[in-house]
Formats: sequence, structure tokens, C-alpha cells
Amino acid sequence: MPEYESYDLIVAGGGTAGCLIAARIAENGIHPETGDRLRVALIEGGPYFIQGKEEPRPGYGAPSRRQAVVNIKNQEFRAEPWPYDGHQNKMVGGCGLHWGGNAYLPFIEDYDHWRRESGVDWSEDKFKAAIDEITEVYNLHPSVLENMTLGNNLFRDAARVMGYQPEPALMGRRNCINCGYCGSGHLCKYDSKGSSLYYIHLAERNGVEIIPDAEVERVIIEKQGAGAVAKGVYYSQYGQRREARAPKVIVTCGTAGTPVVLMRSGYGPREVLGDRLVVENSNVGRHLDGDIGHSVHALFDIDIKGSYGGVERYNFRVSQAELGYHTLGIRDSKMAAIDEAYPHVLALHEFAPELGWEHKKYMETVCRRLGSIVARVGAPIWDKGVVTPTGTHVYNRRHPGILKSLKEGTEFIVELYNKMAVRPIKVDPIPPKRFAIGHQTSSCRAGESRANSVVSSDFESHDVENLFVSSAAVIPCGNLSLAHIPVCVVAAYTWRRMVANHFSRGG
Amino acid sequence: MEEKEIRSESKKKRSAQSESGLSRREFVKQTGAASAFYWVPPRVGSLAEPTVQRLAIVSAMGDALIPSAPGDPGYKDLEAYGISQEVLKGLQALSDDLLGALNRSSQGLFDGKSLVELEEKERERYLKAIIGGESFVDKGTLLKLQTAYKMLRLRILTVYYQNFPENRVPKDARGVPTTQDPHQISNPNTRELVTGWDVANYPGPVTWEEEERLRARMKSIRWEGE
Repeated sequence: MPEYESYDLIVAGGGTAGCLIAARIAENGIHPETGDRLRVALIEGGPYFIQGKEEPRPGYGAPSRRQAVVNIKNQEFRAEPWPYDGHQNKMVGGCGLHWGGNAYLPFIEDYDHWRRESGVDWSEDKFKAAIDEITEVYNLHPSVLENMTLGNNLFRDAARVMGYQPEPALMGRRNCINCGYCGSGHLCKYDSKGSSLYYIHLAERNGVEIIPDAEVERVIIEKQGAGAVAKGVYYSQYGQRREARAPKVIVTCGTAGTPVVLMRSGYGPREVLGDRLVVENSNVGRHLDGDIGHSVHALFDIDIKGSYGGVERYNFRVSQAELGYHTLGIRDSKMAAIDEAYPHVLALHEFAPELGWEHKKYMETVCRRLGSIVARVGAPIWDKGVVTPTGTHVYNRRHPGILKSLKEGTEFIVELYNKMAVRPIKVDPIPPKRFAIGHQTSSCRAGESRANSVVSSDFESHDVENLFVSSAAVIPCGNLSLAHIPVCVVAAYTWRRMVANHFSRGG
Repeated sequence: MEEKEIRSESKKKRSAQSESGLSRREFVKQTGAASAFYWVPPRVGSLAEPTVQRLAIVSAMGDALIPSAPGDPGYKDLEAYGISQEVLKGLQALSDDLLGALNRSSQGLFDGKSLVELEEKERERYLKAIIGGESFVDKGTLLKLQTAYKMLRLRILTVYYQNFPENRVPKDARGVPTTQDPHQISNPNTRELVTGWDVANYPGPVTWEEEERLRARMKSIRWEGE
């Protein structure tokens, strides 16, 4: 008897992309020779808090998740910290459970940008079925006007005065009660935010074996003649090393985790792996991309957020230097929500008085008087970063082109505040001197050849047979970024390609 | 009883405590003495022995940063719950040397009175003099004082406004909260005590009743996509 479990497909990484791909392939795919249903394993390093077969009940939440997913920040919630750079939750379902509901479907310019970056053959037409799926499952809809706060409307009217047309931002929520705790790392105990929850239940219903608390150590890659082939994975669970085998393996460990797993498997740049090299591809861990934002805070002398506020937003794009490149987006990120306005953060804010009664008086109302508008540089032109074998992100945090864009964005927002019907009493006008990227993508990107990418437009490794990659790791940064929905769309496209190419009769 | 009324009652109780006739010095002393019960020895570092003096200085600084008045509870109203001990747990890097300098340097400005002996207005003037820096000729001393002040301010405001002592959600070994109420509200803030969240009018996670009200409101709204 072999000392390993056998499957038809192993999905390594149970975050957003992994849950979606595992569920849909189990639902729609068949064994190409026998026509039988597939045996799919979903292996995830984090815990599985939402087991119990409770159906999602948006707006109410299910008891087990209401207990696990409290309205505190995910940093306080998670059982084990994500070991690499980035802020994802390490748990079945991944960071899809913590995002604020902001949804940016890929723009036409994003496809142009992606094709230009790496030569993928992706287009809006090809992605249409995937977009329709995500629009329905995530219930994408514009921000609700009835929930807009005074802060939102001050932003909207000032932008109009400046000649722009801000639009209610697209959101992915269902039966949201507008509790005000949504973005900034808050999990949703009401199951209202669009998340991978739907796909986790779909996976369970279609017999996917979910293996939680199981860190994928490496993909088993064997040399075969001049080439190489993936055979399965080694993973560790509860202190024991285990092995699973399958004729197809897909790595869906996100921007930070995917290159780490591949490099641990001996797949990556020769100069990084040295004598651990099994298969060379210099693009593994390269081209790290993401969006770069700067929030400009303002203090008002009136309540701009209402009783609880929410997460509705307006946004618009200010400039686009060249088709698909270097977009400056403006978003009223915190003119409604109080989620980020933790008292202990506000107590130390630069707007806070030093001490005594003056400070205490400020504290009594500041939760609802502090707002912020963010300038976000999307699809940036810059020397992209690197993910190291230990998961650290390395890039130039003082890139002059990015700093210039953030300075322009800051000045734009200061002018926007000055155009408001109720002007803030304090604004922080200082642009950043260094920056951090968010919503990281592209560390094992898809592209036309192994010279510039790791996988093909159909997510198949250029170098290792039967190995696939799909997650934020395969897509370049988008124009307004916030990569979650683009990741979902790409994952919804991935399962379609994999079923068509490998898991259908004669596929 | 409405929430505001309950908090008002709570505030009155707190006020009664603060009007018990204790002078600030006596209060600080007594707090320091009583607080030894709560002290948990630091796991690392040789500094930060839990001396009464360290507690007294932290207590005086807490009162300066978040003052109290009858009907308006602040930092010192949480002394009985061990807030100064909690603050000190995060100040192991603040040496006795720096803390002592902060306490003693007021003596030259206020007739020989150390920080813990100053009246409220004097203490505020002293701390503002440190922030401004003009009253201190010796820049080395000034740097020490400003460092101590900044470390204390950061830690005290953080602990207080993180809702101490009602900042803990009980969790099991896996880190999963283990609240027992049927709706799993898991808001640790109670109505029994005026804490940092109450002072900041920060609601925390909503109650079940508030959830139901919000659901009813949202059901009355129809918009594209739902």
C-alpha cells in the first residue's frame, strides 16, 4: 500500500483562488478518461473555522462564524500569523473574508496593461463568463446612495466643483447591515461581504477534501528526460510530514506564498536556488507589483460620519499617463466608516492635542470627525520588486516616479478639501517620503513565454508538466487595483480553462 | 434603563470615589501600595522593577494625560483595576534613570516638588515645558525628559483607549473567541465601567438589538444588485 493519498487534482493553498478553483473543478470537471467525478484535495496552512456545514446566511451570519469572526481586527483574530510579507489571513477562505467589500472589476485598460506587461492573451471577451460568475456570486453593485454620509457627499460635491465625475464605488456585499466595521482588516460576522464562503460550501457539497492546518512544504517535481513533471506535494500537518499524489497540481498560495512554495520545490532562479535547483525559471519571485496609496487625513469640526457610518464610497480617476499605465485614482476611503478610527489610534494621531483636558475633549468626538481621502497609483511604471525564498518583499520604497505621483495625489486631495462646502479645520498636506505596496500581485506571473513569465495564459507552467499556478501571483497590477476581485475573476477563468483543457472528456 | 442613564449612574459612582477626600499625593501613594498586588514581574530585562515609585510616576502621568473630574471619569478611575501595572508591562525599555529624571526635574521649577507631588495645573505646565523645551538649558537632560515623556504618552494613551480593562475577548487555545451569549456579539465593553471607548464615544461591535434595527432599515432600501 502506498504511504500517500491519491487524488485527481491537488489544490495547494486554500485562499480565495484555491477555494474557488477547487469547488468549481469538483463541480464541473470529470476524469478525462473514465468520466468519473474528480477527487480533489484542497490543502491549506491555516485553520478551518467555518466547518459545520452551516449554509451562509448573509445579513445574519451563522453561529459558528459569529463566534469565530468577531468584529475585531483579523490580526487579533487569527490563530497563526501569516509567515510572509503581506496581510492575508492564513485560514481556509483566505483574505477574502476580511476585505472591505470594495470591488474593482478589471477595466478595459487592465487587459491592455496585462497584455503589454507579459504578453498574455487575456481580454474582456475571454473573461466574460468569469466576470458574470463573480458579479453574481459576489453580488457586485454600486455603493448605496442612501448610506452615503455627509463626508461622502462633501467629497462628491467638491470633486464635481473641480470638474470630475465621481461614481459610487462598486461593492461586493449582500444584505449588508451597514454596521460600519468592514474595511481595515475587519472580518464580517454577518457573512455579508463577498467572500470565498460560497465556494467553500460548494467545495464541501462536491466532495472536495479540505485539509486544514497543513502547510505545503513543496511540490514533488521529478525530472523526466529533458523536462520535469509535477507528481504531488509534501505537506506537514499537526507535526507530521505527509505526502499526497495527483496527476495535476495547482499552486494557489497568493503573491507571497506561491513563489516560496515553488522555490522550496527547487523551481526558480538559478542564482537564488544554487544546488537546490531542480528546474530553472528566473521569473519565479520576480516582477512583484501592487498598488501604492497615500491617505491624506483631515479633521472636521462637525460629525461627518453619522451614527455608525459605513463603507460606501465614491471614486474617480484623475489621470492616466498612457494607455493602461500609471493611473492616479482618488477615493474617499474613510469619509464614512469608523472602522479604522480606533480610539487608541486617534489618541496618538498627529491632530491630537498633547495632553490633559484638551486631549480628552478632542477624544470625545474625533471618531466621527476624522476623515481621509486616498490617492492610489495603479498599474505603476517602476522597477518591480522581488519575493525572496523566505517570503520577504524587496523593492525600492523611494522610487522617484512613484513618489512624484503620490505628491501630485496629495496636492490634489488638499485642493479637494479646500473646495468642500464644509472645510476641515486641519489637513495633513505632507506627501510621503517612502511608501509600501499593497494588494501585491504578479510574483509568478502569466505570460507568453518562459523568458518573461512562469505560466502560460492558461496557467500551465512553462517548465513543469502538470503544474499550474493561479492566484494574485499570476496577474500584474490593475489600474485601480485592490486585487481581490481581479483575483476572483482570474480564478473563475482558470477553472474554466483547466476543465476545458484537462478535466473534460478527451480534455 | 437607557444606555446613557446607565453610564451616567456609573459616572456618578466614579465621581463619588474621586470625591472621597483623598489628596492626589495620598491617592497616588495608596494606589501604588495597593497596586503591588496586581504586579506581574517582567519576563525579560533587568530594569523595570515594580517599585512603588515607578507606579506613582506612571499614575501621575496617566492622570495628566487623561484627567478626571467629578462626573467625568478618566485614567485614575481605572487604578483599582490595575491600569498602571498594565502600562508598566509595556515600559520595560524605560529605565529608572529616565523615569527618575522626569520625576525630579520639576523640582527646580516648582519649589522642590517632584512630578508626583505637583498639582494638576502645575503638572500640565511642567509637561508642556518639556514638550516646548525652552525652560531647560541642559539639552542632554531635556532629551532624556522628552524621551521619557513620549514613551509614557504612547503607552498610557494606547492602554487606556484600547479599552482597558474591558479589552479582552475570551479565547480558546486556538485563538477562537469563546463568548457565551446566543448571538455571539463579542463586544467586550460593558456598561459597568467608564473606559476609554466610553470616553471616546466609540460604540464597538453592535448589540443584537442594534443589529435588528439596522436589518430593518436596510430591508426598506432597494438598490441595484440586491
